[in-house]
Amino acid sequence: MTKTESNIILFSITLCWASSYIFIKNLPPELSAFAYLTMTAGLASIILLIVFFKRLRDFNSKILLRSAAMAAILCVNLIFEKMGIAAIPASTASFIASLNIVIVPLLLLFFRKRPSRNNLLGILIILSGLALSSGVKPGQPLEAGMLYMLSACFLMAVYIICTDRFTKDHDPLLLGVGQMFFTAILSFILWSLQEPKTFLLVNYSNTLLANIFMLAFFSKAYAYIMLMYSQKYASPLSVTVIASTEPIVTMVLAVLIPGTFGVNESFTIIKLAGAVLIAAGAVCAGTDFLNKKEEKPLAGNSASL
Amino acid sequence: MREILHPFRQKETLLQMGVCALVFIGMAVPFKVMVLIEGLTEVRPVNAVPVVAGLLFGPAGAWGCAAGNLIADLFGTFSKGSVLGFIGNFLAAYLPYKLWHFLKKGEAPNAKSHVNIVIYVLISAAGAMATAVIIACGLDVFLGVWSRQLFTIVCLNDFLFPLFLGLPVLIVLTCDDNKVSAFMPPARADAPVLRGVALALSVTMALGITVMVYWGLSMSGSLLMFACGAVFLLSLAGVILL
Repeated sequence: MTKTESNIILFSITLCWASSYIFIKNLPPELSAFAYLTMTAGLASIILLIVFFKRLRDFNSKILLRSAAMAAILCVNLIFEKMGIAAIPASTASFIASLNIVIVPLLLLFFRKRPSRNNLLGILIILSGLALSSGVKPGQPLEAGMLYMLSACFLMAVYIICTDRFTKDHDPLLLGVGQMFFTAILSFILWSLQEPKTFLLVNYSNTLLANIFMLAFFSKAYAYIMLMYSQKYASPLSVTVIASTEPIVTMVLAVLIPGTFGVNESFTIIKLAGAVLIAAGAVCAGTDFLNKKEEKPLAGNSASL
Repeated sequence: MREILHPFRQKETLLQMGVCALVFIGMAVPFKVMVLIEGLTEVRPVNAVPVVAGLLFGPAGAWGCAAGNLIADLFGTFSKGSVLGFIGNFLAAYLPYKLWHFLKKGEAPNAKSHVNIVIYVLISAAGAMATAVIIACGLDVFLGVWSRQLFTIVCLNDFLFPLFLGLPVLIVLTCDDNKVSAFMPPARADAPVLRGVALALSVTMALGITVMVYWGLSMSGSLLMFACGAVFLLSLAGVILL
């Protein structure tokens, strides 16, 4: 897979995740996050099990263990995210959630992978764009909600790096299927702890089922299998940088489909400036015009896009 | 003509047709709730399937998508217009397949170079326009229902979804981990110029009709557009028969 090909896949995943808000908005507000995760991941697992039935015999204990680890990280990430969103304003939560663009390169330093000059400049530009578009205000006191969101963000960065390492040695398809299966089981356990009646309490309707199916298909089954494949060939930084363009995609979708993201979504000059900065940062991080002046790094010592 | 009927002669290609039809139905039916024009069309991510199915499985993919669309129509949008949907979705898969092998002789479909990505975008656009002409203008001429909005929606559904969903799927299916072997057309020496002319003419006519639609014309109300439609159908027949 070429760099362009993996970038195209990563962008399509970003598009799927950004447009998933259209369907999430149609879900009843009383549906808990764990119920949502159980139903979407469960349905996605069934779809994947049917489609890739013949490949299931290739599972081994190592793949199962790694899939379970990735699912566990995702579930704990969701718990922290849920607690964080409940405690702090949405704009602050959204900004902190996007901070993995900083945490991923920091964690990569532990694996002796340093970002290039272009990566660093790009990250700075993206960060300022995210700050503008999310509307976060400087000088806010540190609250428990912020720490929860920061923990969620840290776990997401760990997830990206784990996926990167696991997919290099194991079949990305099996990892994706296994992860989805374990996510469904773990989230069901969490859901039953939160609400023992689980499925019996849900008010089923055609709209709910159709939206759950769409989310299961696109934001889970499609997006995670594609993520596994693209991460086998792309660096964790590429994933983070391209995922950081999600606010732009959301903004474009909001303009194309008015009312999609609720009545509170407004299109301002500041948001537009933020989007331009994010796009410019992503382009900067994805090119190497500054790196040409550097000494050529040793193989495996750089995390350029 | 022999090529187009080839999938019905082999067990393997029949199976491919069945798989394509099942995937199509599975993706089309849940989106029947996202109606854009009542009884006619909806948001259709399933339209990412025909271009990829056509490129990878050739005529078998095209028949599979056409059949899948017809069956999916039974879940709420079945009407006389479903015949046009059948033809349109067949074309949405078959035209990109023919165009790819016309432009990249002997090369299996892939997106490994920038040129190939551009070709994929162009053949998706050509397929989208041709499908929109068949469905929207077909409804106008044969059933007396004209809607420029429908033309636009069919065009966008058939262009954007193959671009943002179809292309990544093609990349994954043709990457080193999967290496799905694409159906390659049999090498033929007869009438290559005529085949090229028919293809070029069908794409040009589809483009011309699209321009005329946004100029404010309709096929039932404009003789020029009707003539273009007739040439388009004849050239399509040439693409299929030659």
